[in-house]
Amino acid sequence: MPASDAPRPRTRRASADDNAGQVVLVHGTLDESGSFRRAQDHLSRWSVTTYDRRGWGQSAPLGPAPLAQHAADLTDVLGGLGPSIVAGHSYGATIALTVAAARPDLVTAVVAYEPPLPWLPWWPERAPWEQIVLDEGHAPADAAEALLRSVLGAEAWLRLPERVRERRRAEGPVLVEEMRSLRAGPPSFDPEAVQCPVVTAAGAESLPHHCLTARRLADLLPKGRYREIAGAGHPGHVTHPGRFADLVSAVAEVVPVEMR
Amino acid sequence: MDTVVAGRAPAASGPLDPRTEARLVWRVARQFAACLELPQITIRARSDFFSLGGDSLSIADLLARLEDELGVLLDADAVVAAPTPEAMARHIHDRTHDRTHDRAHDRAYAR
Repeated sequence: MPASDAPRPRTRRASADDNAGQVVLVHGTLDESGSFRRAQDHLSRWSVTTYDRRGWGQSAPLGPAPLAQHAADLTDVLGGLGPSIVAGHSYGATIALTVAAARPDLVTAVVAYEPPLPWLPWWPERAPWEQIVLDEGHAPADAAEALLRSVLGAEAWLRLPERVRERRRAEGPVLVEEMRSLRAGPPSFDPEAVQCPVVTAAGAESLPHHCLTARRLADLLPKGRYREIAGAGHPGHVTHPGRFADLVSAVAEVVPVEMR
Repeated sequence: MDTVVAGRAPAASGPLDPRTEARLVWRVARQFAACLELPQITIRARSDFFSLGGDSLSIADLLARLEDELGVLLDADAVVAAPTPEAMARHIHDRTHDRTHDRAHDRAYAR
């Protein structure tokens, strides 16, 4: 059982198979585990666990937290499940890779969809979203709104219910902390030290540096492969849930039998 | 590991496959950060060693580090001509390719 000050994982078990493999889904920034709901529908052969990371959704009272704390939380979740495939979106993908490098006994494979890795040499000196959040002098709530206006478009932002817009604005401090945490300190893992199979992925319509970083990361990882989802942007797990789930199947195929 | 002295300008020596290029760029970038005592996040694939603060002393350090890690000794002229991780990766590849080619040549003529 997780401590009361830790995120509470939720598991949806495959209905027909008690021996179904474990998959853990880790969400990104300005997001929560519920955004994987449609992807989970395509993962019915797996026992799928998700949780709201510190600062988001039901774990909002626990955050903000640095990357190392998020890695510790994922490690705790995996400790309760045993060896698992971890699929992460965005910041969640960076957490997944960090834990995979440190705990090869707990992570059998990783899907890393557009992980932000500002310390890799192909990431721009200042990525567009980093400029919005860190450089433009916004208060945290305004930074969250400015970022979402940029990602979703101004019209889509205004179409959101007011309570949702207010909630997203209230998440501004967590957004700022997570973006700063990615840029603080040494790299959280050495890509060449990740020994498990990894599928890195990006949406074909995503920002160029997301695609380039995911592609070059796959080249660096000893067992890395790169996949691109046609028509998808950064929220590919939401807009293309079936294709996102296919990434899990793709990486599962190359997990050694004794590790499944 | 053997050491190759790379004292002349880079020579084109065939395609550099993406995996090899990525790994060389990453390793050179890590050594840039280590010898200039800079955070890794400040090093880009096209960062100029001298613009980052490198000088004649730090070049010597960089060369020693790369020799230890990759077994390829570049000389200072080569670093000045190609002072970015991306360009140095290409140069290291060329020198490694030349070494392989020279050994094959030597073996052929030793028969």
